[in-house]
Amino acid sequence: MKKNIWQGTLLLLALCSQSVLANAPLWLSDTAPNDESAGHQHMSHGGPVERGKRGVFQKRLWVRSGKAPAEAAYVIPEGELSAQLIIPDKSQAKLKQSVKDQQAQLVFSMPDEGFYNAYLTQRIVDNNQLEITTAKAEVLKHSCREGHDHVKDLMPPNHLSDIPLEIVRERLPNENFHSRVAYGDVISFLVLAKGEPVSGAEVTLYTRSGWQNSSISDEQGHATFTIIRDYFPSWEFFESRHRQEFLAVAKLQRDETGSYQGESYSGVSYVATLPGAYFPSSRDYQSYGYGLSFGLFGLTFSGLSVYLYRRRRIRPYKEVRFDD
Amino acid sequence: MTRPEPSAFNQSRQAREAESVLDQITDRFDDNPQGMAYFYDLFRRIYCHGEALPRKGIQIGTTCIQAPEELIYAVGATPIRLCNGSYHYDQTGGDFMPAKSCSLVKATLGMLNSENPVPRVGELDLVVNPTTCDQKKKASAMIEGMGYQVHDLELPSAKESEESRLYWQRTVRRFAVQLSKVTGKKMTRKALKAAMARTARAQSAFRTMHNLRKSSPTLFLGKDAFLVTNAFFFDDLERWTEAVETLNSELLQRQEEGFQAAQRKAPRILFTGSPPIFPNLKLPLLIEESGGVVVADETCSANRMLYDMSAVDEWRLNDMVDALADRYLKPCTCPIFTRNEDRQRRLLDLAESFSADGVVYQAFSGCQVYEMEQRSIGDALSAKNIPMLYVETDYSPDDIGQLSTRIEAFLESIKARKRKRS
Amino acid sequence: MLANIRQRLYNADLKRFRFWLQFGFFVLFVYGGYIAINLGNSLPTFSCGYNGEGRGGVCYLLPLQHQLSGSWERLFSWAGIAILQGFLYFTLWFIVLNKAWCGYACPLGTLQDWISSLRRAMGIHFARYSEQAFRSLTWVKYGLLALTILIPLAIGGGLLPHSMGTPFCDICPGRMIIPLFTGDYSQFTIDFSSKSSMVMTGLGMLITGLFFAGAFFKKRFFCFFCPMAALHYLVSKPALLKLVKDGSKCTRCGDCYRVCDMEIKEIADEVDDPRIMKDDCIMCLKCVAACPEEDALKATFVGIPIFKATEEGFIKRMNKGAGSDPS
Repeated sequence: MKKNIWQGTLLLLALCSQSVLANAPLWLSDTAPNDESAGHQHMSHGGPVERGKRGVFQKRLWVRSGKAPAEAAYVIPEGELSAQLIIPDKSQAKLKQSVKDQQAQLVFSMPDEGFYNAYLTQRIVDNNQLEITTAKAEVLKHSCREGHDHVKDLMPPNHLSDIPLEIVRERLPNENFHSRVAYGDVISFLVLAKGEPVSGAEVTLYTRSGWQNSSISDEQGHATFTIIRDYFPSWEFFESRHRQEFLAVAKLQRDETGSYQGESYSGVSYVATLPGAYFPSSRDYQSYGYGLSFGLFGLTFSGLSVYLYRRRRIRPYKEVRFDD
Repeated sequence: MTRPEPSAFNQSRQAREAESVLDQITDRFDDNPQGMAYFYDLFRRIYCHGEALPRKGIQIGTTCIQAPEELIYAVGATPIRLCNGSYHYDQTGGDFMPAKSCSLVKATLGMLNSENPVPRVGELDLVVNPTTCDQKKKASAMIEGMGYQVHDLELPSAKESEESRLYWQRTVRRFAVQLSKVTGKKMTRKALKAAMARTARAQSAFRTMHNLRKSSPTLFLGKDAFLVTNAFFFDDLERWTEAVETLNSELLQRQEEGFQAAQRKAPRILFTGSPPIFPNLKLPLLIEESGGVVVADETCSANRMLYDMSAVDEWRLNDMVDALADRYLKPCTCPIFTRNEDRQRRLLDLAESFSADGVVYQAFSGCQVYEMEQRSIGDALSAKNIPMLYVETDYSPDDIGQLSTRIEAFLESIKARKRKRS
Repeated sequence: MLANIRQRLYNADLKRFRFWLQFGFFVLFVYGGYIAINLGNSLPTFSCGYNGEGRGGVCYLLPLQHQLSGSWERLFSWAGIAILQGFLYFTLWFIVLNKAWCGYACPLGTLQDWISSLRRAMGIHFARYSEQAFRSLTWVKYGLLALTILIPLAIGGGLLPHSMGTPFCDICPGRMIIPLFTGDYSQFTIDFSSKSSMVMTGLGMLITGLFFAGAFFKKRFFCFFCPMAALHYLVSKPALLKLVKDGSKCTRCGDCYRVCDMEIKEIADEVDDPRIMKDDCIMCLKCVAACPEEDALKATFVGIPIFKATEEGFIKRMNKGAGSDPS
């Protein structure tokens, strides 16, 4: 079934025009491009991870281009690239870039609990425009064996102050390492330019199969969206832990002139991307109505049985029975 | 017939028998506790002068300790234990029973059948007869034949199994309903709770007295203790309790003063078997006249009747009635039950905690169950090196001479053992 | 002086003492998390892990099932050590209080006692099992314990769906009821996301309904079936708190059996073996309080008696119930 969906989306991809791809922003995805890569992964609280040396979790991110996470292509980006990584204690660490099987990858290990931010910035001049794209991924590392006492301090999101345009996903109320974004949840993004909130940026949210919604960041740099359901299997194939990626893209156009690597430009187009994961809402498959009616049935059935048993016991006591 | 009635009563065989035993109890011993005066006087009034019992409400006779008295008190009636110890009634009751049968049952029947029974119980609205031993079972119809209303309280003949426990609980619940019918009063939680509190107070007074007998040298004699528990058969519950409490405080004082009611080296005897009931205190009196002292007993006229107390978890009528049923069945060491391990353990524990030197086992001739258990009890005791004297007797005074020789010899042998040990 | 303190201890009104201790433990385990209490993940009592922030620790059965549902390769490597470690902590917690964890600490047990009080106040009498029913039902907890362990193991081996990862928690009424006390009723649902979770959560809600009715009529209804009680019994031998019976002092009057919430007949009938704590025992010590025979029943901690049956204490307590003042 899964494969069917996959094939279906590939077909959809083929039907889509080339122009979509041309204008597609870069982003970092943790969905493996093929079964072989996926085979090295296992699911942890922060999404798929690989097990590195001495059991330390290792995260592999692929560079992709395209808006709908289901269709986006795995690409090797052009132009000048720079990669950065912040680890949970807010210091920077090494981020390995590599190209394998025609796919650009970023790999880093996650020894400590908390959120890791990986950045890949692309600068390119095209049509007199400087395009600066910052693809960011925020990856959680959590293993329940490490306990849960430290969670609260590690929850606030991190950002870098030298990134031209960055999207920060703000936390859900009472979010912890086990929280999952679900259909119907309202998620809020903060758009930062060099670490400062910026208003007027166009933020677009793409769900897995390409549904999109746009919003302009407000005075404080916020843009909010409601996650919608984008998963319609028949009941037998429904999985409550079905993980899907969404993609948030922020764009800001500025009339700045200058030259970059010898080419002059008359405007700068800032693009920031941030993927995330969302899951079916428990409201989709959990029912209070049935729960309470089962409970009430259990209560009345057993209560009534005891009552009737007691009523019967009041009648004269007879115990001898011959069932022949 | 010109003589006034009381003196005629005074001349009766019954009264003479009671009088001589009472005189023996009071006069042949020194240092009787002052607190006993109440009981001496009570027995003199009831047994020798034939005074009627001052009773409240209707009276319900009981023939064994298994009839739950709390239930009777709870419906405003008063229980009276009909078991009798008189040789005179033993003889008159002989018409009902075969020659070789238990004196106690015969005496009880004799008393119920007499014109002017002593103690003067007055009219009985109901006689509760727990179906314990065969003789008591058969007495049921005979008592009915004398014109009494009899309620058979069906007691199981084994008590270990859960079935018998439930069977007995049903019996007791039915009895509670029957009581309400007879008295026309509803059994209420409040009334039963109050009744249980009253008997609990009496029981704790008894337990205090019982525990004071552990003291060595002994603080008072067994014959007095038997008289006290005998009075419980018919005395007013509160008055009895108060009298025992008074006696207890006197005994406590004696304990502080280091008082000796018997010689320091007097053999300490544990009494078991058929119940001594006034005026048949023949055996305890013989023991104590011969220099022994009865420090504890395991009989249904004393310890077994008052010792065990009931525990209730939820003070609702249902649980309270069941709790009472349990208290009257489970700890009962009556030999009518199939097994007697409980009785053996009870005796061993009593012998140990009262530092008894020997056991005197009384079996009324004709009381088969006690006769049959004699061997197993004797074995259990001798395994623990406790000597036992088995005495088969009845209410007649004929064997006193012979018994006194045997008892003296038994006490002497105990003394010799003690000397040898020290 | 010491004798005086002892006497006061033995005369104590156990009922009141127990009520407040249970109340304290209830607050600790259900709301302790709010005041930053965390006693770890290996508690031998139903401090429910589904009770979000409020819990003062986690019932050992939850992490146990979770750990066991890992893949078999992992079980025989580092995860195996983690399981042993968890079991060790569980045992260490357990041996301190022995089964008194059930009678005094367990929030679900305390809740059942409160439901019983409600029934008592309504004047409805409690139910008892027949002896035969008791003898057969007493094995249920071992069956549940076996399933609690075997189902997660089977999941690790790929024999059962992952949604049954914590099978006992799914059917344990504690999962629904305990979070309720911190305002979380999200467990009162049926999960239709897969067949197995639908069955398990459906069973869970049925049992929750049964729990309320059962606890209303039967004292400590659920404890009789609790796999935690079975697990307790398996490691109860080295426990520091012990219930001891001196059979030679026992008159077999059955007072202890009467008041026993768990209907353990041996407490009254057994006179040879001093170690009287049975697998159903919750160590509430009501039997000790209801025993009129001096020294016949005792609770000892490392051999030192901390509560024992005394005649005086019995009379005091019973008179309190009967509403008379002994003078």
